[in-house]
Amino acid sequence: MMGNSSLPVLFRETFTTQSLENLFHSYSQKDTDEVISAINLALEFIEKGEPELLSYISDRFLAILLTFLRAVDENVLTNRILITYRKEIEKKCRDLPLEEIEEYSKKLGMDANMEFEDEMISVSLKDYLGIAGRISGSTYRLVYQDIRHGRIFVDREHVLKLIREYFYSNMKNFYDEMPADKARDITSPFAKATDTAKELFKSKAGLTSPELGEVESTKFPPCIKEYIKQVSEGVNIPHMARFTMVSFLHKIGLENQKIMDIFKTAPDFNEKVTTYQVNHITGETSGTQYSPPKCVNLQSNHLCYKGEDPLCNTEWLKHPMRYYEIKKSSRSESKK
Amino acid sequence: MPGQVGDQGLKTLFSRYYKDFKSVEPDQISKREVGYIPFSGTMTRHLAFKTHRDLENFVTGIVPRHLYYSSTYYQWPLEKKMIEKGWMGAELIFDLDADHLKGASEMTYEQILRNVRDHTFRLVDEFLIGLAGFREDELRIYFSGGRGYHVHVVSEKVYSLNSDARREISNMIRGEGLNAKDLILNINNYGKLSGWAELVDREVTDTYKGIANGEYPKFLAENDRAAISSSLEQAVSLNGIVKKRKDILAQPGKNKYRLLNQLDREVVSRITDDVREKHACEIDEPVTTDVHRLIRFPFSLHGKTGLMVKPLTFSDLADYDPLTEAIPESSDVKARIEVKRKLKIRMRGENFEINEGEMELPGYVAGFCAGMGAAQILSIIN
Ligand code: SF4
Repeated sequence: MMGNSSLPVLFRETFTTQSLENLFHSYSQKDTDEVISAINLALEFIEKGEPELLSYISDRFLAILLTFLRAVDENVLTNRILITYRKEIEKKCRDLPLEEIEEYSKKLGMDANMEFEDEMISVSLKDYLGIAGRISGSTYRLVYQDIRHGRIFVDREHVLKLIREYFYSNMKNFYDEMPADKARDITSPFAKATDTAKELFKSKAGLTSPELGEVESTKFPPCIKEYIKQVSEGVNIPHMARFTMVSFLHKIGLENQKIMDIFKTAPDFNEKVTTYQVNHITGETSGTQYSPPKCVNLQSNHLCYKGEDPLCNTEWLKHPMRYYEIKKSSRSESKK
Repeated sequence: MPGQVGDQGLKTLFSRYYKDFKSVEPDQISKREVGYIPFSGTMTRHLAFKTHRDLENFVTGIVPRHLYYSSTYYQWPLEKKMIEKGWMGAELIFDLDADHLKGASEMTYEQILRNVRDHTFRLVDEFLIGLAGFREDELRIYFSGGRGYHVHVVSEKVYSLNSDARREISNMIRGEGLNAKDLILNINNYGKLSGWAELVDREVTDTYKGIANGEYPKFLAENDRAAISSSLEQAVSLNGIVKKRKDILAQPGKNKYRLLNQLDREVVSRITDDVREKHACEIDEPVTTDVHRLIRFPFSLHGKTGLMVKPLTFSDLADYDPLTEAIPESSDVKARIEVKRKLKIRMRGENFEINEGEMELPGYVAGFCAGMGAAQILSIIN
C-alpha cells in the first residue's frame, strides 16, 4: 500500500513562477518527460475523457498539469480534470488506515485529530465550516454533527469528503491565482501543444453555451443562471440544484430534450440517468410535476446566489418562479 | 416639528454623558467602520478613527442619538463601497431581542428583558461555550441598551468564516432544519450522541421508559397506546443479541433508531419538534450571517431608552438587571418633563407610574420616557 507521504497537497506557495518556468524550460530529460506526460494526460483527457496516467499524482506533476491547463485556458476542461482528481484523491485515501488519513488531513492544513476512543477524526469547528458549507445534504449540516466543545467528530466516510474538498480548493487556488498570460509565458516552449489542446477541445465538444431557444434566459433569477453556468462548465452541482434547475426550466416551458442538452457537458454525464431524472422531475414518468423549491429552502442549502440583485433582495421575493414572472411581465409592460 | 423640542432635551441629557465618554472597546478601532444617527437627520456611516481618543472627541462634539461600529475589520474602513473596504474578517455576532420572542406583545418591558436574558444565557451556556467550545474570554456580552442583548465572539476561530459558515452556526442555535427524518438518517454517524441528537435522545429515552411503565405522553392517541406498549414487548435481534425492544428503546443511545416502526417514528418526530421548541435560541439570523454588520458601540447610549450598551460577564448574566446596571451616572439629575403618553417602568428597583402632564423625575426616567417618544424633556435641573 502506498504511504501518504506520496499524496499531494499542492500548496500554491510551494511553486514560484521561477520554479515552474525552470521545469518547462529544463534541459533535464527527467523534467521534460514529466512535462510531456502531463501534456499527454491533458490531451488524452480531451480525447477519451479517461486518462490512464491519473494514478500518478505528485505535487510537481499536478503543478505542471495545472500550469499547462491555465495556458490552454478552457475552464470547462480544467474543471473536469479537477473533478476527476478530486475523486482520485478520495479513492486513494479510501485505502489508508485512519491514522494516515489524519496525517494527510493535517498536511493539507486541516486542524484534524485522531480520536482513538471513538475511532473517528475530530476537526475544528472553523475548518469544518470552511469546507462543509460547500457540500450539500443534511449529513453535512452542523445541526446533525457530533459536536463536542468546538470539535466535530467525523467518521472515515465524512472526513474523506472533507479531504477531497480541501484538495479541490487547493488545486483551484493554484489555477485561479495564476494569470493565463503568465502561464503562456511559463509554458512557451510548448506553445504548439497548448494550441493543439485548445483546438482539439473545442472541436471535440461542441461546447458553445446551451441553446435555450424561446425562453428568455436573461430573465432567469441568479440561482438558476448560476446552476446553468456551473453545469455547462462541467461542475457536478448538488442534487437540489439540479432538481431546482430542471423543474424551473420545465415550468417555463422548455422541452425535455433542451433541458437534457445542458447536462451534456457535465463531467459525469450519463445519458440514461439524466434522461430518467429529467423525465421524473418533469412528470413525464412520475405523473407528478415537481415545482422548484422556495428561496428559503435554497438559501438554507447554500444554493441561493442573489448577491446584490435588487429583485432578490426585496422582502417579498420568495420564489425563483416569481422572479421570472415579474421580469417577464415588466418587460412586456414597458413594450406597450 | 413638536418632537424637536423634546429631542433637544434628550440631546442635552446625552451630551452630559458624551462629554466624558471613555471608549476602550472594540479592539482595533482603526480597522472599524463607525456610523451614527444624529438627533436630527439621517444615518451617517463610513467613518473611521485612528484611536479611541479621536473617536471620543468626535462623539463629544456630535452627540449621537445612536452609535455603531462594524463587527468587521477592514483595511480601508473609510471607503464607501463594501468591496473597496478590504474585508479582513469579522466578529461573530448574535442579536437577541424581543422581536423574535413569542408573545412579546403581551409582556411588560421588564418581562421582555428577563425573557431575552434567559435566551442569552442559554445561547452562551449551551451553544457557544458548551457545543462550539468558545472560552469565556473569547466572548463579549452586552446589554443592547434596548430590548435585549448582543453576544460577540472575538476570536481567530471565527474571523474568517463566511456568511454560509455563519448560517450553519445560526441554524444550529435556532434548531433550523432539525427534523426527525434527517436526524434518524444521520444519527448513526455520531460517535457519541451530542448536540441536538443528545437532547432528542434524552427525551425519547425518557418517553419510552415512561411508556414501558404505562405512562403515556399526552400526544399519544388512545388506540396507539396499546399498540406501542405491545410492540415494546417484541423481541428483536441487534448485532446478534436478542433483546426485547423496550430494553433498547428505553435506553440511551443511537441503536434504537434502527428499530423504529411507523408509530415510533411519529413519536420521535413529535419529540424532536418539542425539543427544538424548548432549546432553540431566538437569535436574529440576518445579523449573524451578515459579514458587514454595524452593531451598537460599547458604552454608547441607546437613543430610545437612554440606557448604556453595557458589557457584562457571563456570571453577571444569570440575574442581570439592566434597568439598574445600565443607567448612566450622568443621568443622576432631576429633569422636568411633559408626558404625552402614560407609561409604567421600574428602574433602580423603584416603580414609576407616569401619567400625562408636567412633572419632575429622575433624569434616567425622563430619558427613558423621552427616548420612547412618550415625553419631552423641558429642562434639566442639576
Ligand atoms: S433569492 Fe431566490 S430567486 Fe434569488 S437567487 Fe436566491 S433563491 Fe434564487
